[in-house]
Amino acid sequence: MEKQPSPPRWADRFLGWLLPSELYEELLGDLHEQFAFQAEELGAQRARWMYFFEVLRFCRPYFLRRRFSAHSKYSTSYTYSPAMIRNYFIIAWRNILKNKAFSVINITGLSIGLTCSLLIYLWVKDELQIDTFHERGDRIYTVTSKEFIDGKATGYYDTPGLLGEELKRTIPEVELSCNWSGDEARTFAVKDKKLKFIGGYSGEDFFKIFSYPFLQGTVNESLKTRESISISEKMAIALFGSAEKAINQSIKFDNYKDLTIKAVYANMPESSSLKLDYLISWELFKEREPWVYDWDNSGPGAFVLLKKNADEAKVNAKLKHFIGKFSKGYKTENNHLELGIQPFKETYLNSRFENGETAGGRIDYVKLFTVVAIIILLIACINFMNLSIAQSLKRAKEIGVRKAIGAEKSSLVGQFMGEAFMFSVIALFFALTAAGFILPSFNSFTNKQIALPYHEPSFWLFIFGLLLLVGLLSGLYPSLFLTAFRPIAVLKNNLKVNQNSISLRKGLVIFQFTLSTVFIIGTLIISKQINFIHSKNIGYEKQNLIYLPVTGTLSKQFEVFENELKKIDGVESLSKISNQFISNDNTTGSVEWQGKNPNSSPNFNPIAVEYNFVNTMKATLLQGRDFSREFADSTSYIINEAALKIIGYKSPIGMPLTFWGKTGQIIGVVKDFHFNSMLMPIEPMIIRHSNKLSHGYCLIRIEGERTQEALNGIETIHKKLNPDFPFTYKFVEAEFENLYKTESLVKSLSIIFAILAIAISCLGLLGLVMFVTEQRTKEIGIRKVLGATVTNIWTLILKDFAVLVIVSCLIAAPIAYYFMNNWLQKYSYRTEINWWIFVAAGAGALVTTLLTVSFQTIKAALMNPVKSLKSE
Amino acid sequence: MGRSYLGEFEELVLLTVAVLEGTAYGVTIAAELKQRMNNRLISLSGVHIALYRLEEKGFVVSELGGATSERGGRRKRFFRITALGKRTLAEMRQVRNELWDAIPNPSFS
Repeated sequence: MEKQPSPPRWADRFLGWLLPSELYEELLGDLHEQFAFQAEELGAQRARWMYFFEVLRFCRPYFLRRRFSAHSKYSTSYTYSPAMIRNYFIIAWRNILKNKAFSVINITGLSIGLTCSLLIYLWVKDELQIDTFHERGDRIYTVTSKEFIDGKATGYYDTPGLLGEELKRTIPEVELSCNWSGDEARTFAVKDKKLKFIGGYSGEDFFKIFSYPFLQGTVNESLKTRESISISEKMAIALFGSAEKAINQSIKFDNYKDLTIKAVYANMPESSSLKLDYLISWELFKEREPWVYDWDNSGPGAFVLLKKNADEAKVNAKLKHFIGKFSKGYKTENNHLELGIQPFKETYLNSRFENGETAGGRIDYVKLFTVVAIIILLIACINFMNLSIAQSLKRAKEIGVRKAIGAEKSSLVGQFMGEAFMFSVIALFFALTAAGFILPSFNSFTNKQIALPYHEPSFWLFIFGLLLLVGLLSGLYPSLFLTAFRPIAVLKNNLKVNQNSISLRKGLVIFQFTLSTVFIIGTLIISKQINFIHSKNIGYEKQNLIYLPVTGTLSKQFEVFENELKKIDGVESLSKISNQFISNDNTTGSVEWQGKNPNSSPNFNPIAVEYNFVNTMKATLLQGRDFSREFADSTSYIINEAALKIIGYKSPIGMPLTFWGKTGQIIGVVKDFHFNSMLMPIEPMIIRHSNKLSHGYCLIRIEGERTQEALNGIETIHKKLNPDFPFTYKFVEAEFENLYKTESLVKSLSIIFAILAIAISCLGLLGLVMFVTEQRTKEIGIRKVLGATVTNIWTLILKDFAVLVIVSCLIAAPIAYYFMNNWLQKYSYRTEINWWIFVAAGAGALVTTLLTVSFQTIKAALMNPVKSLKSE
Repeated sequence: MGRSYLGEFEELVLLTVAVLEGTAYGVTIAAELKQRMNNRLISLSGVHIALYRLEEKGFVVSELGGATSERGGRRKRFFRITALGKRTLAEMRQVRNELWDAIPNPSFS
């Protein structure tokens, strides 16, 4: 017997779910009839397929809509019907208008929180994308050094100057490699035009490793010979008018040599950590700095490009003892230099070393501010939660009525979540506007070029996510809390305030204030540390000290220059120093003295200076004397305390010291002075005298009252003696400030965020106080009738809030101590964490709370009881 | 209030309902349309939605037929054209005729 073919059952079940129940029967009937017809005509298999497609075609909004509306023949209002949604909006809007104060507090708090998060998001996003644009970025690495001195490791990016050429020759995994001198401002001249630009020297692989697009010239030629230079479009336009006119032109570098422009590249983008206007061939660097031929000297950085599929770990292993083959000073287990590599795209954010290993850097701040953004947002959301729950009593009747006429819990939750979203959308609108206004000053503040990326989908994704997060965070609990009311209790007016909800409210307030207080304590400690750095005696007077590069003909006529300058009013004294001021990080191990342990070669910071160095710096001489014309000082050395400690002479003056093969004697010991950031300890230093320095910096001590006169005088003389170079000078003090740019930025940002956090928290508190005083209007009235004074009532309400804030401070203190103590550890010279910081922060939080609470409380306490009792 | 809008497919379905007088329900309408329109793909769901819309607009009325032994005993919903539906069709036809008449050179195909 032949069996009747039947349509697939699962398709029918699906239709049962999909279709409105009142239509299910007739539609399924029609479908089956058509199926039977088609099965007969075309065969069961094809009919099944056609049935399947027919079912698919039933997935239309029309049926779904009908299905939702089909609950009852009498009800036209279902959860998502336009009428109900309109009603939700009307009620939400009326509530906003009815409780203007609360709405303003909520929206302000959320807007501030969202603005902060938006700005921090933009900043973090910008930080994270730096240096990620290079085509072969995954294979570019920065070479790191790990130097062991008496078993102690220090890490940095200084490497021997021939490394770039050697690595690609000897290590098979390395495809390309080059050295990099570090950036410096140098003078370039074309005909009469003389301008300073920032750039440096690098090997011929530089443009092969990094992807900087060329406008003129080729990558191969860009840095090939000693006379090759590649310049940026900006520099080409400044000197020649355009990139086309600049190519193959001759350009005078530093009044030292004529170079030929072999390439013009597009200006290096904002997203590049290197922003160079010129690059000169490494060959010229070797010519000018012959010390690079000695593998014991470190200074330049180095980059490598690994071959595809090269193993980073293997390269690291090969690099570890790479220097050993070349270096004479590479001696023992305890004293040597190890090399390694770090992915280049991580270098910008992770450039701090601890015990020779990379240990964070800017990434710490990126993480810190991400956390700050989340916390501020959280505080704002808590405001919303607290105020919504506090106000719940007011809306209890509405909920009761809605439930009584048949609203389901889910629809009420939907309504309240919707309100939370409505608030977040309004706040987000304000936040986007505010961020737009703040961005320009934020940019100049953080030294970035961020714009609101309206065109990027990822930005909108973030905005959407933010909205979802804020809506959920602030709306979820209130909506669940509100919808749990029992309609009978509500409508009979005997709704009891849930004790749990009050303790939750208190808990949330404590949480908010704990976070805010942690912020305040953190800010205080950061400010204290930064003030400590600025006010710490750095060992010399950094005020009224300027320095200018000794360039061109100035080096040959230094004595003339010196004599001329001395005639100027306002110039006290001057000297010369070989190294770049402040960020001086050259080191050498080539120092010998009596009683030196032959197995150790500790590193010293070498500087060469002219006469009167110590006097000009106003550093403190502990023993001995300064370099002076009255003595033959060509083999005399001045050392600092740190160096004396290593050398270990009991009475050092007159004792022998051999430096770079020249034996001489120690003539003076200076008190340690800070040449570097306080992040680093003071290094042992050997100061030698040299009047044959072809480069370096002229140090001039001027009188504070006659700064302008002195500067004008110096400029006139500089113009006369060294006409080929522009007159540029720097104040040591300003340069010192520059060293702590990041710290200063963090300080300012943390002050702003601490203020915002406490402001948002106080806003929430204000809302709560308003609510409480409103709730207790009658109570206050009765108390006043019975004779309570304003002070009585003030303390009555204040007490509750003050306790919360005090508890928060107690919780905040240890948390803040833990984090800030960790932060301070990275400074070699750090301030103490005093008890008064915690007291001050606590007192600050408490006073702010008092002010916030008092205004509203006193207003309530002053109310005429006749009025407050008459109402209703 | 203006007359309800009638889409092209809705008009076809409405006409078919009028044609099948008394026996118009989903399957017959779909089959009739398919046959008359050179096997153009006619989906049941489309026909039904058109029918329900026409009913909402008041051009057709419907009632459930009795249970039969066909199609698993499921009832059919029969549709009938209303006076409003007929009038609307007539008006549309008239508008079209007038437009055809207004073409200066009607034998253009």
